[in-house]
Amino acid sequence: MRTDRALSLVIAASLAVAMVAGCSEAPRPPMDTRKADEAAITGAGVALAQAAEAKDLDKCMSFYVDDPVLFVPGAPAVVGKDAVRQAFAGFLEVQALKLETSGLIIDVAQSGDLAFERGSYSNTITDAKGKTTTETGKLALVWKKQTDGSWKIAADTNASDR
Amino acid sequence: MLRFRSFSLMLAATLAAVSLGACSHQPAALPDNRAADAAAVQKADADWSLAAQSKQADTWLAFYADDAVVLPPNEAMATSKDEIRKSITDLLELPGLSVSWQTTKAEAARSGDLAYTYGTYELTSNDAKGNATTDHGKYSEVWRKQADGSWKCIVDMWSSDLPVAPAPAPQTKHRGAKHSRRRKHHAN
Repeated sequence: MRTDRALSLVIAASLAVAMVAGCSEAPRPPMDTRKADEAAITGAGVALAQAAEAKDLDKCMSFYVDDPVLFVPGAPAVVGKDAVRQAFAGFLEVQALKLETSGLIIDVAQSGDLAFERGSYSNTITDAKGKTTTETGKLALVWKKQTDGSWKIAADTNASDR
Repeated sequence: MLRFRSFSLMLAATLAAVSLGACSHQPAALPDNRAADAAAVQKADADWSLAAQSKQADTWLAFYADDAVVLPPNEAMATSKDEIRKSITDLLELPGLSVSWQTTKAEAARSGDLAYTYGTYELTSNDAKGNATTDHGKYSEVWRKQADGSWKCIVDMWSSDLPVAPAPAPQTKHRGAKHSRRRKHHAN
């Protein structure tokens, strides 16, 4: 009988432990990955600028979702990957490019599926004749997390300062 | 020993049952309100365009969150409330102004804290000679859900569709207008 009682106590204690341990996981909201997401987006932005400076069109396009939009001043919205690719190709048709950004702020949704980046850019472009101009403006990007965990741009929107 | 073993088995079985059973009634995931959130943001955007018809800065500014930034074309980013008020006031004071916009797309995050919209706008104003000129373009907005459940805009950007004027005319520069006369392509 003493053994039985001891076992009963063990069972009762185990039940309590199991309930606490088993349930502490379930109601918890999804893990907050915002810090890591922010770092991944920052990295993707840097890699995109490097790819543009290297005039690697395929690499540039790899940072866009399959159905992106691109807003640039002085032209209607560019919709769809083929159209964005064409616009990008035109952008890369220069002698040299230097793309810089500053004051970037990234807001990642708690769920880690969407993120929004904004800030300032400075594009220094050397055209085919060797003339160099610098243009400054503002950017606002919509980033979407892909099924493989990478982040890609769904909307690339820009406004020049002048 | 036999008895002890049966207790051990019972213990194991009970633990397994409790582990499985205890949590099955808990919600597996947060409810998915993305469609409702997107609809709410789209409605807020439509309400904003309607409210803009009053041409009152306060009415317009009420759609911005306290930490909003405005990224208009042809001028610097407006990050403080004063800068935003000045930028919007300049826009609303354009002579003969008529402005409206329409959402093309609205999408919300799974967590319901952030969302975005983009769309197209039309703007008519009078030039220096009093002739009505029409501009049209596109905009993008980021929205954040507030503590009271309403959505407020935290990032507002727009730019004109119209190509750069071939000869830069030195006439009146409409600061704050949704006009952009410089063609460019920008990667990031």
